[in-house]
Order: sequence, then structure tokens, then C-alpha cells
Amino acid sequence: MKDQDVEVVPEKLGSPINFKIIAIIVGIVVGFHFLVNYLAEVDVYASTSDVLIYGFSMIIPLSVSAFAFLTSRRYSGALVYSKAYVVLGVAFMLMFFAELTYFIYEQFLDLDPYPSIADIFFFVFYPLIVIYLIINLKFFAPKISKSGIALITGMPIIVTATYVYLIISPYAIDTGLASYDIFEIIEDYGSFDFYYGIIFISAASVTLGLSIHTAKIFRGGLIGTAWLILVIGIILNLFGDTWYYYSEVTTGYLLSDPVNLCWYSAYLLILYALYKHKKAL
Amino acid sequence: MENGLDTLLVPSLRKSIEENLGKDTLNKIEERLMERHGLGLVQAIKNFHKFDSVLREFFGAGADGLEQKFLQKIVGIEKSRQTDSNWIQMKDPELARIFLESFADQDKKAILGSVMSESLIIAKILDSCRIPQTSGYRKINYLINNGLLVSNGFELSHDGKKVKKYETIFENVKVDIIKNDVEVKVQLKNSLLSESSILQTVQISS
Repeated sequence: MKDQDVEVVPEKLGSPINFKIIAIIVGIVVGFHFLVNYLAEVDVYASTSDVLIYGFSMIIPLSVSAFAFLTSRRYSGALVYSKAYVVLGVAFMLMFFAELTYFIYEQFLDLDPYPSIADIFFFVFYPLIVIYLIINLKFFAPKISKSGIALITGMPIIVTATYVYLIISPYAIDTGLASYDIFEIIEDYGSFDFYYGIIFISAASVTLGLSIHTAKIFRGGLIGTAWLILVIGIILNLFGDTWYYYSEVTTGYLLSDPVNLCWYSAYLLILYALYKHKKAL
Repeated sequence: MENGLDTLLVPSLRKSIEENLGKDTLNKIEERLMERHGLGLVQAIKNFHKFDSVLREFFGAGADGLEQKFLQKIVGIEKSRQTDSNWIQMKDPELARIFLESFADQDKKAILGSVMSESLIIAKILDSCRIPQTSGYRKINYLINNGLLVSNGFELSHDGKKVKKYETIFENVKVDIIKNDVEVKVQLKNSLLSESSILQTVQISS
């Protein structure tokens, strides 16, 4: 038998990140963004661009949801994963409903979807992600260390404070504002949008603290890589949310906004993380 | 030498692992145990540090919580304030049933009583309990297979052959019936607790 035919038992199981898949995700997201923005500039295709954006925004969470439900079926009977994956599936299903509501409001009812019932779906997404993370945490690490508590509680405080600072700092620095062009576009600091944004940002940042803590627990294990990718996805999602609510308070959000890149890549990364997790176990 | 407590816990622990992680994950863990240590699941649980090392390969530090979860539904340990001895509560109904059945059967109860304080070879157990050989061997095998009796040495027979001696794994058994719940608590021999590879690896409480 040739040397290369000998199958060596690995000392340690590994599950490295496949950078080709990461490149494909980046390619899809960036390519799609440029395509819809190009179409938006051509009058004939402007509405096609909107439909494409809505279609893409609905298909991705729906795919994550379907994958999560399928995986929960695979683990049916197992105490931890079946429940956790069902919760995750419901979370992304609600995200799909939120996008669908936006689509119906804008394309069929000709109403401004922000704020609307869709925001309830958007918001419930976060508690469900928190439940998904807590199910995993309770199972694998029921006792939380002091550093873990600091991370879980500190992260929402830091992120929310940063968001609030970004919005109000111009006012804190100079109440005159006229000398700063960019501040003139902050039209409604202290308005509904401002507080509404805080609720979403704080909820999203809770998921970040919890997911980093959970990923730290699994670090070094076969599923550690999947959790690392999941954390990156959640970071991108949080970044997207912060950007979006900042835009809503300041310049306003457009359907072709680059903030979509964050959300698309976040969901696709979460999908990849779930795939890796399922493959590892 | 195999630890009696580990032998007693293995079937319940296997069931608990499957319930918690699911069959697919358990299969992957079993594959890795065979690949890495050449052990099946039952043998690996008896060498718990090897099982633990494979769990860590899969779950990192999450293996700690997982192992506690596996054991929590099976047993709970109560440390006695008066003495150093430990009482173990049999939380798994299957484990409790083994004890209850053994003490409900007069022959099995007599067998356990005969080797509670001293270890004996099977022939002497049967003699002292005055039990017929066929059913006696069957009942002793039941107790050995379920981990209630463990071998703790040898005795030389007339023809110079080594014959295994057996003793119980516990010093006392307490059965409480609270409303509809039957609670079985077992006071294990101290050496069993300290030598159990499972309880050396996993810290559990009641």
C-alpha cells in the first residue's frame, strides 16, 4: 500500500472554515447589491430592482428557517438541539414574515411600512435568538462565570450607549449645529425613531453578548468553528441594525442602501454556521 | 479493575446520553471513540476520562455541562454531615427498580446480605444462603450484571485455581415512599466513590 493511501486517525477533530464558501457569500451579496443598484438607476427596471431586493430579503431568512426546521427534525428526540433549532426556525420565519409585510405594504398597499406590524416580527426575532442561545447555554454551561456575566450584561450597555452617543454627540458637542452640515440632517433626535432604534439595538446587542459567551464555551471543540461563524453573523446583523436605525434617525433609509449587505451576509453566514454545526454533529 | 458504581451507572448513562444528544450525535461520538481509543461506548463510559476527552473534542468546555446533564437525571450525591460516607440517590427509575426488585426477592436479598460486610466466592454465597444452585447462579449473575455485586479479589480453590470473590457495592440502602414517589438512596462503600472514573471526572450534586 502506498503511503498516501494510509488513512491516519487525526489527533484532533477539526472543522476549518471553508474560505471558498465565505468568498461565495461575499460574491453573492456584493454582486447582488451592485446589480440591484444598477437596475434602480435604469427607469424601466427600477421596480424590478425593488422586487429583486424584496425577493432576496425574503428568500434568505426563509432558507435559514427551513434549514433550522429540517435540522430540528433530524435531532427530534434529542433534548437540546430539537428545541433550539425549532426556536431558531421560528425566529427566521418571523423575519421572513416581516420582510413579506414590508413588501405588501410598499408594493401593494402603497403605505410606509416603517413603523408597522412588521416591526413586531422584526423585534420578536431577537428574544427568539436569545432563547436559542440560552437553550444552548443552559445545556452546556449552566453556571456562568463572572467574566461571562460581565460580557452578557456589558455588551448591550456598550453597544446601546455607542448608538445613543452616535446620535446625540453632535448635540452634546455643539447645540448650534449650523456649522456642521452633517448635523443638519439629523432631523429628529429625541423622536419616536430615536427611542424605537434604542429598543432594537439593545435587543440585538443582547444576542451578541450571549453568542460571544456561548462561542467561548465551545472554543476548541468541533462545533467551535460553527459558533465562531454564528458570532460573526450576529455581529454583522447588529452592525446592520445599528446602521439602519442610525439612518432612520438621520438620512433616512433607502431600499438599495448598502446596509442590506450587512443583513444579507449575516443571514448567509448564520446559514453556513448552521450547516457546519449540523455536519459536525 | 472495573468499578462497581461505574458498571451500575453505565446503562442509565448510555440512555441519558442518547436522550440528551440524539442518536446521530451519539453515533458520531461512538465512531470517534472507536477511532481514537478503540473503545465502544460502554467501555469508554467505564474509562470515563477517555469518554470525556472525546466529548471535549466535540464540545470544548461545553463537555462539563453536558456530563453534568447526563448524570443529573440518574443520580444525586448527598454528603453526610456526621460521617464521610456518601449517600447516592437513584433518580433514574430503572436504577431504582433494580434495587427495589433485588430487595423484594428473598433470595437476592439474602445474597446481598451475605456479602454486605465480607466478600465471598459464589459457592460460599450459595451455601450460606441455602439457595438452589441453578436459580442461585441466575440471581447472582443478575446482581453482577446490574453492578450490585462486584468482584474484589480472588480465593484459591482446592485445585489451586483462582476463584473470584464478590461483595456488594453499598453499605446501606434506604427506601422512602413519599406520596406516589419511591426514593431509593444507597450508601456506597467509600472506595467505590473515590475510584469511580465517572464521579472523578464529573462533579454532581443532588
